[in-house]
Amino acid sequence: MSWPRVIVHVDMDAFFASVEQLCHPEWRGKPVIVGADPRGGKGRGVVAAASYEARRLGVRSAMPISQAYKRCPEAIYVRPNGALYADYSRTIMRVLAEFSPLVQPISIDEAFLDVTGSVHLFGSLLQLGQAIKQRIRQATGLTASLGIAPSKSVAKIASDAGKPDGLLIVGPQEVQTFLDPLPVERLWGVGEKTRQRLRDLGIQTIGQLRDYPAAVLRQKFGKWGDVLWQLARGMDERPVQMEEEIKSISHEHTFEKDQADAEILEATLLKLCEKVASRLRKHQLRGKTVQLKIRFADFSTFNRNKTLSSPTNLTEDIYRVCVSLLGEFREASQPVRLLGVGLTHLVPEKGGQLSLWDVENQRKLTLEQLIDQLQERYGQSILVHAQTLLEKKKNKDRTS
Amino acid sequence: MKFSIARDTIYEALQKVVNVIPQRSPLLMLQNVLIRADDQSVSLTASDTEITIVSQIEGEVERTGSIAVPGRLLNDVIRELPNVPVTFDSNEAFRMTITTEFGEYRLAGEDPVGFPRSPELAEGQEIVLNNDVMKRLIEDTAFATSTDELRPSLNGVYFEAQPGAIQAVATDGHRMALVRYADEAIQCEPLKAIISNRAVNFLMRSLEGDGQLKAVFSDRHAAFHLDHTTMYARLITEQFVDYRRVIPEEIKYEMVADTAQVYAATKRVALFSNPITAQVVLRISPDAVELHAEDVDFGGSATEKIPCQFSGDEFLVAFNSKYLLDMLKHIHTPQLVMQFVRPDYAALARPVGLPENEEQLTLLMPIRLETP
Repeated sequence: MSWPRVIVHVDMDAFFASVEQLCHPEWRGKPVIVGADPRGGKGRGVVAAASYEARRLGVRSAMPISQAYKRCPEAIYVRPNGALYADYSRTIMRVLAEFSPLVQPISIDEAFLDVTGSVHLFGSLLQLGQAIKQRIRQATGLTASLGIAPSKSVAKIASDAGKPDGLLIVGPQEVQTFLDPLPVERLWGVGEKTRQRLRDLGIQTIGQLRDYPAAVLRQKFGKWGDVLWQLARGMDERPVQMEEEIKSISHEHTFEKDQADAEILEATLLKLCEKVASRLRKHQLRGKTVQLKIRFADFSTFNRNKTLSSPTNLTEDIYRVCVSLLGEFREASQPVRLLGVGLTHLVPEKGGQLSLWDVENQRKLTLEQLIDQLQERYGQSILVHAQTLLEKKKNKDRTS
Repeated sequence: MKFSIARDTIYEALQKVVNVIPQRSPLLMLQNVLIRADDQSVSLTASDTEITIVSQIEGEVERTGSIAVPGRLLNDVIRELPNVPVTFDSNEAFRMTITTEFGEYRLAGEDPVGFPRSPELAEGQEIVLNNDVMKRLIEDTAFATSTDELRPSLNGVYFEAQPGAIQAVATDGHRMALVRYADEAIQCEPLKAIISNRAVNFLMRSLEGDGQLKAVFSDRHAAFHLDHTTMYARLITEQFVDYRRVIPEEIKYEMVADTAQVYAATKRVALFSNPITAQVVLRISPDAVELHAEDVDFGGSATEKIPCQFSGDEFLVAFNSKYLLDMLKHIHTPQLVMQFVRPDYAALARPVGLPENEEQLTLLMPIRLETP
């Protein structure tokens, strides 16, 4: 039987922990746990990622950090460095784009590729899989696990089955023998609740689910029953989508310490506006409504928004609105815990109502696009607004 | 302070100032109307600090003085009275009694010392205009102003005057309106000022009859002296955009059509346009213009054809119907001419047959059409 579609699921192995081990060679071979502070944080928070060395000692991601600490007090505990992981993630996604134009990132360290049209360029499926793994390793020094199958759901299960550093190819005829012995919770979308309900019906493996009458499943689960019936057979027609339609773009920043310094608040706002504007430009969008989110020390949270007369994706425009929205909180008597900036009512960058200032705006856009390119190539810090350095400077002044 | 006056007289004066009272303001004093009685004349003043309006009326003043009283309450009381003589009497404790043949109404007022003073404009430049000229300058431009706080200079009408001519310009970046009026009687030093949207709207309401107004401009304020009313407005002191730069110099095509026909057709066709883009497409051929709108999401569409004279072969251009209608509403001649360069360039619209000393043009940016 030939492959109707060839879907690859790429999943990085213990991504955050591996990046940390890569950047701290002395941590390699040791248990590394990325997550909340197990001591200072009074045990609040969870494990974001655990290296394989830590996993062997029983630490799992999403486990409360206090529990991890009980099991593995000697591990290296490290706070997540989101910007660093995002940098690696971008590199990985760029590598994946070399193999197919159809790449759907589903999280920071996971993506689907539809390689139906490009697999012949790489010889066999095995060669393609090895080439992807090798390129990721070359570009980042990290290992990935791959699953290759005729559908998204099977590919995802296959990548998981081979971890770490795995490559598993499940052909159309092998789908059934591959799935049957696996527990039902391996199916994408089957969580604790569905697992319980299926177990009540005497269903524990995917094979048992497959043998169950479709009519009963539907009766018990409604439409979801139909989906389960299909997933148990490896049937999953969902396409690899380049990008979901974006409804809004936003960024938030939580201060390490609640912040009352107006200059630092504005500098943070500028940084958030840069990020939001840059993402809008990346997706060739402009937004019409600017939203400012503010959370105070007591967790009271406010959203304020303003709709512009014409949509924008320029940092300068968004920042100006945000500063005026922030001004509404000038009288607030408590420090700020979190700031967020978002744009909604997004429209394509090209087309639509033209403006008399298009020439002038185009110049600004070109400049900001140039900064995007520099930052993409050399990192965020290559070129920044001087104002955004203020927080660092003030902190330094305070300590010195 | 004590004076008597006919209800209609004071109500009319109150109407001119009461709307300036801000809905919300941290300055509670601004909720008041300042009443001042001098010998033989009474004035009412309201202010939101940006705009101050003073209305003068004749009254029988028995005792001079002044008081600040809650403006909306005063207005509500006077509104409910028929046209009878009304007596206003305030004491040193700033309590005011209004007496009519029906009874007495007592208001707690305030010491007017805290009321914002009108700006002094002794040093300003002066210009005298007929009310109808000023009215037209405002009316046919103000619709194009912007409310976008990102561009404060566009939140008003930009006036430029020199001896013999005055013009007004407004733009929001999508359209621009300009009206120019030449008259040898206009005597002034060269003058440039942006008057806020809110101020021109108040001013327009006071520009009645065929009288004249005297405007005095300083760096930051303008005063407009009308027959019984004086308005002070804080100017927008930003630099106005270089509007001349965006007026296309070389015109490629010209369309002449009946203003009322285009307006009526646009109004009907626009009902079928996509509510977000409000797009109406004009397909112009040598002897007719076809207007078309459709809403792909809901499946509705409309087409109308009206006669025109066009200098090109065929030209396709799309506009936001709201902008198109705004423009048409302010063309007061039976015919208009629209001038085009390219479907993605500003289009120009002018009335046909204006008197020689008048110029009016509107610039309209199109909507970019998806090229098939």
